[in-house]
Amino acid sequence: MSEQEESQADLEKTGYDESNIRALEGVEGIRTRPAMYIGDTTLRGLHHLVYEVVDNSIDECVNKFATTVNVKINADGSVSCSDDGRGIPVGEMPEMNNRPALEVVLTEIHAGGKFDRESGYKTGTGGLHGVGITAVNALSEWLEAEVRREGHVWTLEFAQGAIKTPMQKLGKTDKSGTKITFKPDATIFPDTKFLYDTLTKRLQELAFLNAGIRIRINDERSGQSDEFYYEEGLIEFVRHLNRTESVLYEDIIHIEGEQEDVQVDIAVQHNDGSHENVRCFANNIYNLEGGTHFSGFRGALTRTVNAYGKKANLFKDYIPSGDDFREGLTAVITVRVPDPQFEGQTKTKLGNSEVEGIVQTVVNEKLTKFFEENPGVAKKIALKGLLAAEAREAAKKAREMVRRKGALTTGGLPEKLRDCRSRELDITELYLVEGDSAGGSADTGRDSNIQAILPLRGKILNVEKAQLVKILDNAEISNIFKAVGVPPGAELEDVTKRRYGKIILMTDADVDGSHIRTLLLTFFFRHMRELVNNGCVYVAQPPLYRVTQGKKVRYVQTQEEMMGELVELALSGSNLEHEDGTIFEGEMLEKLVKLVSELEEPLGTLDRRGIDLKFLSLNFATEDGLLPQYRIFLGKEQFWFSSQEEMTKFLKEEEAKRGEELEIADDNGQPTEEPTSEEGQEDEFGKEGALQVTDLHEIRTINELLKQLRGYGMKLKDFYSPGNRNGEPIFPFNINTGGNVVRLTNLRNLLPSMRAIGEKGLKLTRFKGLGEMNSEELWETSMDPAQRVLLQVGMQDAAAADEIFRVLMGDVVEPRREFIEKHALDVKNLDV
Amino acid sequence: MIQPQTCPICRKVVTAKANDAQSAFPFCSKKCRDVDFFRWSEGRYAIIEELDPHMIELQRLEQEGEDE
Repeated sequence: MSEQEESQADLEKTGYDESNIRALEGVEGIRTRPAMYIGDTTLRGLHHLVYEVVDNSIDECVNKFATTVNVKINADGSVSCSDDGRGIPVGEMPEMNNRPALEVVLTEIHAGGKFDRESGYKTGTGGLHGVGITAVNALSEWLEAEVRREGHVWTLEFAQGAIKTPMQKLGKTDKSGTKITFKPDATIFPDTKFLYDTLTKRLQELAFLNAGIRIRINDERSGQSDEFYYEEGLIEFVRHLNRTESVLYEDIIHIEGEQEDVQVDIAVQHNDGSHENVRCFANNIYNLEGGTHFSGFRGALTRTVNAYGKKANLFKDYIPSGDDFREGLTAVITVRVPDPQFEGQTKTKLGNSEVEGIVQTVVNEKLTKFFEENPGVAKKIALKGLLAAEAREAAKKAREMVRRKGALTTGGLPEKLRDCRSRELDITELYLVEGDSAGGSADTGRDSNIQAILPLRGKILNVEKAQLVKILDNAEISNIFKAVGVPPGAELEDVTKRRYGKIILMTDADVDGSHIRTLLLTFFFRHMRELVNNGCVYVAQPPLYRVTQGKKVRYVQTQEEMMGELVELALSGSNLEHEDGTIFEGEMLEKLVKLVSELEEPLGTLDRRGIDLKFLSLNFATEDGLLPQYRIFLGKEQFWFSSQEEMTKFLKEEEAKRGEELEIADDNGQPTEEPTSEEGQEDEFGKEGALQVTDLHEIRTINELLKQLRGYGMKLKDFYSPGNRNGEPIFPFNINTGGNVVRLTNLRNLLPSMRAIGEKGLKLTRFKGLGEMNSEELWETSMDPAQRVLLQVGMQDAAAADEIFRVLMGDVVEPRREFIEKHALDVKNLDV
Repeated sequence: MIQPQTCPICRKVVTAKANDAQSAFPFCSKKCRDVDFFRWSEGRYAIIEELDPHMIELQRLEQEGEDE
């Protein structure tokens, strides 16, 4: 024995050696500088004591040695935390002066099972620093440890970190687990009252983070209790975070992977809001400031969505940046790292640089695969990012406009504006005129004292073969704001500062014009709503026809009105004579003309389908002189039926004959053509035996009208030419007007002939657009306050325009088609 | 009155009222209103008219006839 060893032995006898000093130093050190170990001594630090103890139990659960953690706030203000794990070892540690391990763990800094991978802990955990439970002990008025292990119950008591009652064996048990009860030291913590809600929130979080672990909390003071258990862990966490949001897609994206001993587990779901809600955890510790796992995730998310968006050709106008994909993003990112490094102000930011690359690789790979399997979700995320990018661009542009002081309103009127002299709101008017040439006529014709003109250019583009696209030239929007003199999103007081009393939209009387008007009204409704609300917006009604009779000039607004007028003119003074001798005149003729005119449209549809009325009528008309409604092509052969029952019967028989189901021909959406035997058409229509069924809706209307026409002695054959006799066409009908006779081969010529008769002595001019009117005409019909008819636009009209516009611009293809069919007329007559 | 129920931009249900001058109506938020305004000022809004396929065919035939 050396000298040194001798003195060591002496010291041991006295019971006072460096190990005691070290233990004291540890506990004293913690008590002197508690903030170094638990952050601070506020309520946050106080609750942190519980988390430190719970973390140990969670670790037992994570490593599959325990299933349940119980936390109890006792009536005296202490807290008990217990688990059904293995129990902290109680054996003596020779290298620690044969002190029991339980005592060492509770008194020594940097002592604990988690440093030894062989002990069963696979990966590091939150309480890895080995300070946790010792600190709790040091900062408690008293602490009691109760361990069930190796068939016995063991207890150990401390006061302010010093042993009060050494470890004792209490009795037998067949269970295992650890229970720590402690009361925080009121000389350290100004407030020692535990808050149930604060503890509950963290315990729930822990249950989310550790799927399959059961955590109970029970407050003896109030009787409150909760139990948390989440089979699906992070997925349920994200569902919980999004519970009050409406989500962008239903299924939560789950990404899992492991690389170089780093476990990555992430759940993601977007909601339709704009806030980002991402929670990052490393080894169960919440990382308020994020860290390398967060940056790795962000990088991978941006990359993956961008790659998808480019591939799907979604990012034509803008390419979203990383921030754009984070709007409405809810995610929980967790990693388990063997040796976590924390940095930042709150020491909660994960610093391990290797984690960034690992998270990025895992997310890239798994998210790309998920997007391939769920393109619908990928598209939604990409489009949301695109919208965010657009919003950014819009906000930037808005800022620029403010900087270029009043770029939209004051400071320079649009070049094209022809202003008026008066500045009195009561009398002044601004005409927004479609087209530059019409703008010119309006300029010449106006009352320049009170009327200002702003010509607007609409563009019609034939983008695709099947579509006409009508847009407003992009400079026009800012011109409108400048001319009207109110800012976007104008409020009531801005409205009173507008530069003109009335804002009048003047567009062509045709469909294009009505579309441009719909665009403008929609724009006013969305961005100058208060103008509409205050009744400042009007629609002018320029005419479509000029009618000159001798020296008298009249104007007619619509095609329907004009045609009606002509027929009416012809009706007075004409009669219709049938070859069988019947003569129609007066009221009878009027009714006949009306029926015939109603037949015009459905017969026209039949023509457009390429079906010859005469052919159909001669070959397939029913016995009572009506047309069959259903057509079937079987290969090149055609069959017609009047009812669905007949058709079904035929098909069944046909199938029975062939002994197999009939093959349906490709329906490429095109109305069926007559089958032809030309080459190249063979495959499409002539396929042997292929079945094509068409329900001709217009025939229902035709048949209805034919029934009514029977009352006038008119039949199907009166609607097509009967052919020739002796080389001369047959004319079964005559229209007699005074001494004049107009001969008709069939009734389909009745209306055109009547119109022609009505037009005699009149001169009709149809304006193709406002531009075809000269300035006097424009003044007289649409601008002269004494003669014109203005329609005031109400909020309801503008809202209706918005509705129509939404449908016409059509993001949703199917509803749009349906809407156009239903409302085609409304669109044309928006202002009527 | 007829009131669009969903935001023209993001399709969220709009709670803003038309008669509240401060509200972003008919949009759900000022952000969506800005986006819409931006689209207008870029000339990106269009009315699309589907053409009758028969008419297109006719036009094409006429065009060819004129060309020959």
